[in-house]
Amino acid sequence: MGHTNGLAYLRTDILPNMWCPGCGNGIVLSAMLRAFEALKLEHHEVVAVSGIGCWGKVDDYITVNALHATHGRALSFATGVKAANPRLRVLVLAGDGDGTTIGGNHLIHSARRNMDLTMIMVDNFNYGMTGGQYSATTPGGRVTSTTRGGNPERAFDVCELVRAAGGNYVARQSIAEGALIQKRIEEGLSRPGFSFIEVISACTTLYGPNNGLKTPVDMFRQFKEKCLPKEKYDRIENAAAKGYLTTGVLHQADAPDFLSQYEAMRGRLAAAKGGRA
Amino acid sequence: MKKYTVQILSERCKGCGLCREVCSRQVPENSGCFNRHGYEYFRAAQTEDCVGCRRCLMVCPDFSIELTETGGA
Ligand SMILES: Cc1ncc(C[n+]2csc(CCOP(=O)(O)OP(=O)(O)O)c2C)c(N)n1
Repeated sequence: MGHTNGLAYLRTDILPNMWCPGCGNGIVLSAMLRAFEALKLEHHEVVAVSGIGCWGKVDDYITVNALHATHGRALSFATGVKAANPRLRVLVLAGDGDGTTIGGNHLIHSARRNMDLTMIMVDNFNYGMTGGQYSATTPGGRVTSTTRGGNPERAFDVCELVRAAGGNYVARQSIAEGALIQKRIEEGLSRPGFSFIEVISACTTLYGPNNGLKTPVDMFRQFKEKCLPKEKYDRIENAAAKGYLTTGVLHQADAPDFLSQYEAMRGRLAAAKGGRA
Repeated sequence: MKKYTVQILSERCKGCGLCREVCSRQVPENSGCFNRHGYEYFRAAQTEDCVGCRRCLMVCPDFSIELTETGGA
């Protein structure tokens, strides 16, 4: 039957995937593949660059071009790929540890440059692969394997960070909203410049059980309750302190992306020299 | 009404239960059986109750659900 399932981009021969039961990574992968199908992307025009971590392993399951980069550096590799061949659609797939903690500086500068990349950051509030250590997105007070008595630090609002640094598109959804994740990825891929999609996700083995959410269904219900569109969020008093998050498209702009600025600069230099660059 | 059949691939399912959580008709249910990987997988019971909303397809992290339209008026 004719519904979008993205299966043309999935490597079925190595399933089941390596992720834990109820892990959000598979939900995001499924949404991403449906987005590829909805945009009718050809395999040869897509490159997915992933970092290190559970979500970073996603490149194993896709049939488009993939590059598994070093920890925290997926954005740098992706920048190189895009600069070398601007016709490619380049995605960056990183966890919260990878994308904001070890790789935070790359994130700021990719947004500042407005590099034409689409980053999907799966935020499970901890370093999943290495045993559930706290990351820069672990909310204050939460228990992880390195904050047994509760996290004394504050978390980044990564969407706000990317907006402030200059990214053209910023959105957040939770894994309880598969259809919307797909839509945001389509929008991100369609908009020139730096697009950032944060997906609030479940680490069902470490972060969830460490914080009283014992099963995947418990985590899913919590996200449904706490991740709200701005209109609903604004009606809740002290929403941020109570752990609510805003979802939806949080920012859109049409600032020129890095490569168009670069080409314009080259053109000006060539014209000043009276000919070819 | 269109009709659908749902199938859950037992060797891919890890029994997380999210499909049942999102199903308005509770078509998926715990099978009580374990697959080769040691997971207690779900199966599609009363698949004729399926309304074809596809929520289970979008929530399944393991690509283990197959939905087929089987006609109907
Ligand atoms: C340079 C370097 N430092 C540390 C590690 C160890 N390491 C592997 S994965 C990981 C954390 C991944 O966490 P996150 O990005 O949140 O992804 P998740 O596993 O939660 O999907 C770390 C610290 C590494 N591989 N390379």
